Amino acid sequence: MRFNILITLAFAALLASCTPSVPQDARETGRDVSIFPDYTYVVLPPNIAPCNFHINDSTATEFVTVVEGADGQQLVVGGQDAMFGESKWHSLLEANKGTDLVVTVYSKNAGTWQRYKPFTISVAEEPIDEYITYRYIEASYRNYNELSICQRHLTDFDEQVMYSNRFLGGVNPENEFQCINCHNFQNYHTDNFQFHVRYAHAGTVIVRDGKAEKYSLKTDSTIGAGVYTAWHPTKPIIAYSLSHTVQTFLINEPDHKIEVLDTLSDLVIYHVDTNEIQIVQNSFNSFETYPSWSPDGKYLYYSSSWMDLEGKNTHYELGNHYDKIRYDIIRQSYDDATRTFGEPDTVVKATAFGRSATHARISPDGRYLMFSSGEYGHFMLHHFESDLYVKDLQTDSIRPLSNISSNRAESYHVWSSNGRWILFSTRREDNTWTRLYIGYFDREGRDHKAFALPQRDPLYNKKLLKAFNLGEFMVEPIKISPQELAEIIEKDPVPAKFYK
Amino acid sequence: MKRTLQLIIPLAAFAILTFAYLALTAQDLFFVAQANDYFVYDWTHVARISEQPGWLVPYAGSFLTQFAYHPLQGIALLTLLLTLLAWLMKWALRLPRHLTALALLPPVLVVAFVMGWDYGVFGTRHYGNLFSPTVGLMVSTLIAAISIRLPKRWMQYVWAAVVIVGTYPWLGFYALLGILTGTIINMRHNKLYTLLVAAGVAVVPYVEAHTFFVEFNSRYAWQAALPFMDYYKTIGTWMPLYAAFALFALMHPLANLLNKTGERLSAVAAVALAVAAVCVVPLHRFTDSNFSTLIAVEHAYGVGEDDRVLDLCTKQEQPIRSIIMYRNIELWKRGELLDKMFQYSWVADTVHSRNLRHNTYITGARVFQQYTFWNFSYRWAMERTVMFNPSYTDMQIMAQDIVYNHEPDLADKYLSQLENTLYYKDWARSQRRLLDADVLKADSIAMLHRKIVLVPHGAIDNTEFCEYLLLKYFTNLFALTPERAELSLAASLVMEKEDEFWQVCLAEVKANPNIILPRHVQEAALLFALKKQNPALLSQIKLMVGPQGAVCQQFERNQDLLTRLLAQPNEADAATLATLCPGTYWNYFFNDSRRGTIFD
Repeated sequence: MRFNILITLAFAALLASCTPSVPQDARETGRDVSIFPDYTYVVLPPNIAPCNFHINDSTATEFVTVVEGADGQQLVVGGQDAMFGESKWHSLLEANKGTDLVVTVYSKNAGTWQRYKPFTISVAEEPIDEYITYRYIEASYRNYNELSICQRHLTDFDEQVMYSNRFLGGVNPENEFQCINCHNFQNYHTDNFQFHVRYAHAGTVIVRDGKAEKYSLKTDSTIGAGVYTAWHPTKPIIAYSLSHTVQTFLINEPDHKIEVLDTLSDLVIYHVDTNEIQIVQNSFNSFETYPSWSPDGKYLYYSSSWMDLEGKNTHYELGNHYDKIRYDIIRQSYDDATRTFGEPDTVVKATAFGRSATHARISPDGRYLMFSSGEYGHFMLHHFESDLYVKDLQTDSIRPLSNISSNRAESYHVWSSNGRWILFSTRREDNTWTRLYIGYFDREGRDHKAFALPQRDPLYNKKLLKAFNLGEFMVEPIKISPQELAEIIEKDPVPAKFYK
Repeated sequence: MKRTLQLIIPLAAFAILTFAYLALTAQDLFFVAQANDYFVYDWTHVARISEQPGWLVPYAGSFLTQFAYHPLQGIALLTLLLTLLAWLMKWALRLPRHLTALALLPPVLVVAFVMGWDYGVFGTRHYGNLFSPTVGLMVSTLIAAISIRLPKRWMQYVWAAVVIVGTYPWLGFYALLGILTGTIINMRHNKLYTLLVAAGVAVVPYVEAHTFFVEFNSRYAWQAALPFMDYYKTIGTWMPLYAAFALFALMHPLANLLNKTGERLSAVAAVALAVAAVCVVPLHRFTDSNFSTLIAVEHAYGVGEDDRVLDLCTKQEQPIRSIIMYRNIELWKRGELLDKMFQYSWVADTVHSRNLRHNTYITGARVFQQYTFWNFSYRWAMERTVMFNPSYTDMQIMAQDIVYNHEPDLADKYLSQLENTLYYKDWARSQRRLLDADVLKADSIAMLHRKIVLVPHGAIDNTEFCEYLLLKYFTNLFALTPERAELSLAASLVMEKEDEFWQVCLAEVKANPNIILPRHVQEAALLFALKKQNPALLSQIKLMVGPQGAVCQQFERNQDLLTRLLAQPNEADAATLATLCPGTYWNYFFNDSRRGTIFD
């Protein structure tokens, strides 16, 4: 049972009891203030939760933070952790849509108040989808233990567990230890979604029109069960990559300790209505992964790599050439009436530039293809050089999202339903613990500096010994409870049929 | 006076004996139990723990466990609490003074549980196991005390409801134990109450766990606050605890039963039962000598007394591989590896544990760290953190690895965690100076790392077997520094890689013509030359190692025996060699390495 309610009450009481006064005779320091998370000069959606931050100044004894809107409305809070009341924060943002907020931090050093250089926070006109889901996982190598898929309400700090592997976990690793992964929703709504359960009670949980069922997607004709997932935006079809994944460990590279490789990797689609698995790509020497549909559902995008393999010991062969494995982004048209795919068409030929491109995501208006790109490989979060890029499908031009990206890994990005916000995973804070950040992508196709998913405790990301992954936007909350999901998970799976 | 003595003597005897026994036998265990626990003064930590019902008891246990950093302090604290528990039980359950000894039974069994801890102490999924049974029993005792002291029947109903519904989420099993114990005492007076409590205990925990704790399996609702996640294959370790719980619950009826035999006889019987419980302690104690050595070694490393490690390891007669690895590390640090490594046993014992047998899981992180393999050390500390829980030890190892990897942002995360602890904050603060790149560059360990781990982009697909990986890596170290040469030669001797041995050995001799080769290198050179059946080569090698030297002389005395063994290995000659040449590479080559040495 979390302490959210207690903490909320405590903070509310604290905020109500002590609104500090703004120092009048403060000395200008002429210096920029250092805060964590870094919310300086970011663009926020008007409906985002308070962006509480910690002031990195170990010498000062008192702090006052003033957030002022264009209309003169002010939020004033004290303390090294600047924590804003939700209702005042929301009214300030609502009143300042399309303008800038000016944030001024005061600190008291040796009895004298001083003022840092103010910074601005812009408030966009366009709201962000109210919900996201993500998985909490340890920054693990081989082992994992406590996994939970959670739903977060973005306008406040409410976090609910959608399903945790501890709900059915227990003493016996042989039948009470499970992995849960790859949650995916159809077109931002929660009536239709899915996630996988591995090991104990294995299967893929598919929620259709609010009703859950568990399936075994492994057939005799495919190399395994589904992995990376993409619901068709309108039809009851789910695309999956299938893969055999291994790890290679780097001896002496601080920035890069582990490389994840697929030794086998194919692509299928699953017809939910008929419970049939249909192969899209299954060549031995080509490795397909990270499927994604275009918003109109006419194209299936994915990443693909080609390796000439002898096939005696694929792990060894690939392990010795891990830094030569590169992926392009391919698409194939899909005709649902005939269940047929068109010829593969290379959309981003990253290998031509000695790079690898993965995680194709088409913007809701169909104009932009966003992807992550690193020097090699497909598991970009282990690559500090991995950044986000967009290809303008109208002009065929590719450019990096330099304002959103950092000098550390970015990957696993998704568009909000209105196409203005990008939720992505990044290791920018410490190169290890993946965090969720959100960036603004304006109507002209320009990206802006991204901000950390707001947390009540501004140092939460530093304290938390869990990583976030697979952030997904939703326009509504999940309607099925963990208890209901657990009931389904405990049942035997329905075996999928192979579609010839 | 007599009545006072009837109370004080058993309690005082228990306190003195418990403290003395634990101080003599369990200081290392207390330190290691503490080092593998984790208590950080932070709400994020509380939020994580409180995802489980009954979290408050292990949380309190974890708080107290931190004081075992100084083992005598931890032992004194546990002794004090157990003595207090005994007094509390006597008072709460209204035991007559002559039956005070009965109240000692649960505390003694808690001591038995502590002493029965095996390798599981290196990986527990629950916090505070060292103290939480004691804290939990104290809570149960207070709950029982209140329930049997309430004057009105309606108050008992309210109290039972408050405990079962209201305190279960915080106290878990111990709330149920307390109310059940009180109910057993009240049973005769109120059958309806008994039935309602029994029904409540049967139903409410499941409903609450299932409804409110979505990160907890409600099948274990009745074991909440107990370390049930650590039971896999180790239930025997925890049996004294269950006996303690059962004895607590049944103590009042037991006292009534004994009392029927009269004061004197019942007092004798109570003492006899207490003595019987005391006998359980040594019987249940995990007496594996490798375990005792290993926890002593971990204690020494944990408090920075690395100098004690070699002595501890060399005294272990049939060591497990972790101890062999530590022994070699310490010999290497002293520059004595190639002179002494085969003087000690290489025939490894298996880890006598029911659930944690893999040496790499137990000690891999520290072993890799000693050889400055920061990435691999970090990996194994992280694997352990994920599999079990964060611990002071793993957090320290990860922090240090990352400091030496010069990843300041990540180091800050781990150091900040440790700075929020009671006994590791000073260490964490001291590490911060190494976040300065210039200071780090000049640090002796960082320099050592640069001499050993030269490969910039090497990748290895499996680090599951720490010792094997290191030996394989060191055997193939061709780019030489003196530090690498030593490790390379040692590894090629262990792996019996003649080509790699000659390559490094001859390069060393060429680079330093006046070098006096270490003893085991001389032994190996002579043996490998003999194996080639080339008299000219053998003569050259004899000249190289020094024909008048002790090694050459010993070799010549046993040359026929070695020749026979090379031609046709046989047990009789091998046994003779063991007698004539103990502690030599020859003995390792023909005996120890042939006796199923498995590198873990």
